[in-house]
Amino acid sequence: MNLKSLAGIAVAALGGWALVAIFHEPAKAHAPVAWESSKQCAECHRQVHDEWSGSWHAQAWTDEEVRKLSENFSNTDCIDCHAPQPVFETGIGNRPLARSTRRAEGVDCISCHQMKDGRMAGTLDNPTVPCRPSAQRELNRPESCGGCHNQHGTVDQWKASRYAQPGPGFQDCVSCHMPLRDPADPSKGRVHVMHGGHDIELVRSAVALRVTRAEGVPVVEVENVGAGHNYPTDERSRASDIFWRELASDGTKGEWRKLYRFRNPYRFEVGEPNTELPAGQTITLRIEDELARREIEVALFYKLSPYYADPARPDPEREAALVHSARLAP
Amino acid sequence: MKRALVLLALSAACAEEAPQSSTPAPVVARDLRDVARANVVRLEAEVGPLAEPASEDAELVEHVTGLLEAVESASLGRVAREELASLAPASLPILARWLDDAERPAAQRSAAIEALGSADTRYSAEKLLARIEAMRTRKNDEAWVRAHCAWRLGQGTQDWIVPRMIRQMRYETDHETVIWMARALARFGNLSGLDALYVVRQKSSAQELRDSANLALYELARERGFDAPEALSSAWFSSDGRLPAPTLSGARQLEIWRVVAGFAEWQLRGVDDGRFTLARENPAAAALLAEALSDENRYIRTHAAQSLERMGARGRAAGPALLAALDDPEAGIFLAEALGGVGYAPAEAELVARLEPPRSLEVRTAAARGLASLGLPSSAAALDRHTGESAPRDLRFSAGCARLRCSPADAPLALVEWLVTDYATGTGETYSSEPALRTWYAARPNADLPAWDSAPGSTPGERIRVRVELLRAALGAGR
Ligand code: HEC
Ligand code: HEC
Ligand code: HEC
Ligand code: HEC
Ligand code: HEC
Repeated sequence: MNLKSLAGIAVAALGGWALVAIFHEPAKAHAPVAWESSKQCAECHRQVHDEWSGSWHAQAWTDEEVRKLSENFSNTDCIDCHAPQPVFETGIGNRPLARSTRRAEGVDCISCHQMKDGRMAGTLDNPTVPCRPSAQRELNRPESCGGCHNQHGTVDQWKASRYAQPGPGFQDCVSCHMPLRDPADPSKGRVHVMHGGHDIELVRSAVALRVTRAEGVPVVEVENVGAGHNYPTDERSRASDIFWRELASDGTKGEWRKLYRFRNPYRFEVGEPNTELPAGQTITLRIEDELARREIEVALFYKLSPYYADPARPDPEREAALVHSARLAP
Repeated sequence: MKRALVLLALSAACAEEAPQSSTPAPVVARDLRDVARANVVRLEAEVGPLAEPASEDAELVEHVTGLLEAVESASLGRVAREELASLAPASLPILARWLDDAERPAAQRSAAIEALGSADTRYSAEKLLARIEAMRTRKNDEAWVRAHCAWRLGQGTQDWIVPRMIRQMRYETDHETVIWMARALARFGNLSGLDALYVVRQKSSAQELRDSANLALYELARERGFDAPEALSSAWFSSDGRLPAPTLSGARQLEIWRVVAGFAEWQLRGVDDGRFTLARENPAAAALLAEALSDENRYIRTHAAQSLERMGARGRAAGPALLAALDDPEAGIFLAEALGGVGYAPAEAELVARLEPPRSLEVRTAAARGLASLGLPSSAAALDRHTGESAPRDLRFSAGCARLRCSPADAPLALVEWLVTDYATGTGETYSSEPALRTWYAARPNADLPAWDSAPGSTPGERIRVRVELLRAALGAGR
């Protein structure tokens, strides 16, 4: 069912004010609506709403990690992007600012779509429906994500990558994070779940792990093959660690030993370098350890928050998610 | 450049009913202009550049080096120090190099700090302050050097160090340095370091530092005629005229305007630091922030308002300016909250008026937040109109919190129950409902406030659970 046929049904559910939309002659522009909640969009945009509801954007206010770090948002600095004013109102590419209402809805439909004049930025113009969509090229540009996602340079990283080069290889934020619902029919729109680090399958697609030996010494390569920006990107709490351990012939496994960490440190972690892996790049590491000449396992883990319970004896299997692993014979 | 901007006060539907079309907007004209940068330029000209003293000649270098190297000598040390304390400005860069050179012996670097401190010029203070700030970009920066520099800055007359030292408080990890910075700030009439002293007194692992923070707290209080540090803190936060109000030198105003101008930047680090810094400045800074409310840049207006809000009573002098700009269509919601934050009671009527349609829900909600912080009993009746079930949820919530804070004793129990239910989820706006519910709870006859305040602080969730139990018990008793 497409949206136009949906509108008739859904509008009926919305009550008198919306009925105006269909019983007026079709060309008549709809009066502006003062939207109070993104729940109102669900009436007509059910599928988008369901997808968004399961996204981390919808969780931006309720997210337990955020609430812990912001002391339940009593650090009001954190409201700016986690409950922002519509980004078209503050200006695409500008820094977002906090809003005063519907904070619990986090980064919602209105945050991304509503324009200064109350119309909704979309891919088409239709002044006759209540949301009055208006075709805006800016909506799917990286800059529209960038107000919130470029503080740590994700958009800049993308711009420096091959994905930003015009041509067949071009892929932007929307092509990777909002795939078409039906690649054969773009009019069916884009998935609004916007997977990121919480989706380990997406993380797996970002990197390749290769392990070989050079004169007996294990050589570990990690290549950023699938992220359109650094790996891991954006949120500084993310970290990805390479560990290795001995696999004894009797089947016992040695302790995990840390080889390398990909991460952009927090502001206060003075002097720590940013070791994220840029798009398309490969890092090559050697395990200079006698033990590593035996049979070993090398594994890449991903962590949503950076610290291990016991830094001296990290337990990545329990405290992080496995991305890739490889065995290496002696 | 002067640019008149016609501001359209955005208006929107009367939202008690279903959303409907917006009414024509009233037009308000206000002059917005380049305020922050213009002030930076003006003050830079007035204060003059921070000139590096004229290039030093080889003879001078040799002389100063000789003195520094002699400070450890038993026979020449004292004379060397005396001479270092009265060096000509041209020697200051040599001393600064010594200070920054970690390879030099500690005694020589200390002597350099002392000499720079005695010089007490803008240049020498800049060098000492920059040495303290370097810990934010340099790993393993030596804490003793920072502590010594902070102490020395507190002996001088360079009040412009205040904003930058406040910012440094946000990052400083060395407790001894914190103590000396708090004292230096106090020397220039800024008592924002008291908070840090309480923390060191309570949390430092070294007894010596805990004692030293305690001593500082008592000395600062007594020097200002107070028996106890808590009384001094209260005088600082209530800004009720019991503390002397130092005027800000041009150089300090320049530092403040630099921070304000920085609000326009895209990177948040400086903005977060800026809000932190200005929120802890002296009452005199409020006049500058008030002026910034006319800046043409919305970020400057917005963050200036937020800084004022966080200044609390110390920002009250900006009340009239905030009120005059209240209908700023971009920053208005922040101004409404700031009026409450600074406690500007004359704003009550205007905030009450903005609870009503045709103002947008954003403005109405922000007005309720402002009234909550003002906490005037006379607002209760107006708030009551928006706390019913038919009110838009956000307005009902903010007006409800305000209602409890303005007149807790007679707040409708159904409203309190609704707010408690929301609070119990732990995912709402607990930073608004928590103080409101505390005010309501405190007004109950058998309130156990110590139990409320000592609710375990390990996680917000645990704290909320304990408080919800207290609230439910009080609600039960109220029926
Ligand atoms: C500039 C906009 C912005 C501001 C301001 C902001 N955040 Fe975020 N925050 C984001 C974005 C964008 C993400 C998602 C990035 C990612 O997933 O890598 C995020 C993600 C997070 C996460 C990770 C969530 C998860 O589930 O793992 C936490 C925690 C967080 N923010 C806390 C805070 C805190 C605390 C503050 C205030 C000190 C704050 N944020 C201020 C934009 C912002
Ligand atoms: C009463 C039903 C209704 C409501 C409520 C509604 N919309 Fe729409 N919307 C429509 C219809 C119908 C279309 C398709 C118009 C067309 O195809 O010409 C549409 C189109 C759009 C588009 C453009 C779609 C595209 O393909 O480019 C966007 C964006 C949009 N709506 C966003 C929203 C948002 C956000 C809300 C809530 C704030 C909302 N809508 C509420 C009915 C509604
Ligand atoms: C984080 C930003 C963001 C959020 C949140 C968001 N959208 Fe979108 N939306 C977009 C982008 C980007 C597009 C793609 C535009 C394009 O294809 O050019 C889009 C496309 C759409 C479309 C066009 C048809 C489609 O399905 O792709 C509709 C309708 C729409 N959004 C409605 C909504 C509604 C309703 C919500 C809330 C439930 C919502 N959006 C939340 C950014 C967002
Ligand atoms: C108004 C600010 C804002 C805008 C605009 C925005 N985001 Fe986000 N985004 C956030 C915040 C905040 C989070 C973190 C939410 C949380 O977990 O608390 C986030 C999280 C994410 C995540 C991480 C999900 C995960 O698994 O942790 C992805 C991916 C993402 N956004 C993609 C996008 C894309 C693509 C766009 C542009 C189409 C976009 N965002 C626009 C604020 C924004
Ligand atoms: C070529 C595909 C691709 C493109 C283009 C792309 N991404 Fe990603 N993105 C990924 C993959 C794969 C991951 C998971 C690995 C990672 O975290 O880097 C990811 C992760 C993320 C995350 C989640 C990080 C977290 O901490 O949870 C955010 C946020 C994000 N991308 C934003 C963006 C933005 C904004 C753009 C546009 C500038 C963009 N992405 C472009 C593939 C892409």
